[in-house]
Amino acid sequence: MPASWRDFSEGKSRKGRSFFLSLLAAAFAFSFVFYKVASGKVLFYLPALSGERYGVETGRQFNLLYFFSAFCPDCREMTPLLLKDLKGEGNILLIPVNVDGPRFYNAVEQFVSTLSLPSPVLFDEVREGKFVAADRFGVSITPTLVVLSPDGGVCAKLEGGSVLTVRKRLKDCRKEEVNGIGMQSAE
Amino acid sequence: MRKTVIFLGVLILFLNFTAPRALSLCVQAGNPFPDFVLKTTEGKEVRLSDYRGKVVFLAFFASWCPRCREELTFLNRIKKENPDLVVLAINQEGQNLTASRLETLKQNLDDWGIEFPVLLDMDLKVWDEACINALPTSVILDREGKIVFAEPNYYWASEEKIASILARFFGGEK
Repeated sequence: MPASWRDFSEGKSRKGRSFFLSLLAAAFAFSFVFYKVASGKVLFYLPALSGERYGVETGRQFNLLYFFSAFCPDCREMTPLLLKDLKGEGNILLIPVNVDGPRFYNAVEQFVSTLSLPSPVLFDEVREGKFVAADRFGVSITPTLVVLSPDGGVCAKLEGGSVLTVRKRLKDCRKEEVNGIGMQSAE
Repeated sequence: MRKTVIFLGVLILFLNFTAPRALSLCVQAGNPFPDFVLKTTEGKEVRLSDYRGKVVFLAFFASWCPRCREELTFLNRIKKENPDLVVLAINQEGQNLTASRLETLKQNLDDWGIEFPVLLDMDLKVWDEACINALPTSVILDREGKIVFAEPNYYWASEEKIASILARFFGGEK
């Protein structure tokens, strides 16, 4: 047992012991908060256009999953508007998720480079008969936007080219985050 | 007045250059569409050339594409109005089509009330040969198997256009 602890436990310094306990409690609280903020939960892993695999992680910021197809005219129209709309929006990560599959690599690559979609662009893939991302969030058409709050819950789901409402829905999501209400688990 | 005309001219030019466009298809009006054999969702083989002598509508689609749903349901209607028209829908989701995904696709087709054959382009051979680059894409073949209309329907608003082309073969408003 360290000398300092023995000293406290023997009641030689009541003031010192309470200071030590306060310090311990503060360290514990700090570690807990740090753990909650810094250690996100990975919802799923998918291959990216670059060939690497990425995990979509919660805990740090809002994630905006953008389900698109390279052959979808609405996606082609909506993408520049979406990117413009998201400019200046802090604490949100846009994650493009393609539903065409790696067989259409060239078409997707062309779509991504022409419209300057941010990397990584993920390819949704079928595992055990289901799309890892699209089926998880009930996505059946493109374009669809799914807003995940930092706790991983689905805060909003926008189907079709309703880009004009994205900013408003994000604002609502941030309000809900502050108030701590209206969260729905993504599990 | 003059200023208005100049403004409109500049606006049209601007829209013409900035509007997103589909790339051109590899198939052209006047040429025959390359023959193919594909299986339907029920596993039955379909050969395009078996329909020689009939007007054929090829509808390239994917289940996630809302405009494709509109087109397929529209085609279902005109097919009912004219049973002599052959409609073949060609699905592009082969690479992700597991058994359960196939069941989901069939369920979707049932929900939309689709009654014509839906073909699965599993290795995307037909897709590649036609250079499909937007969905839905519509191709109409005359009775000799030659292409009379091939358009990547970037903006699905062409029911009238398709009806007018079919009217050439069947007469009246189809």
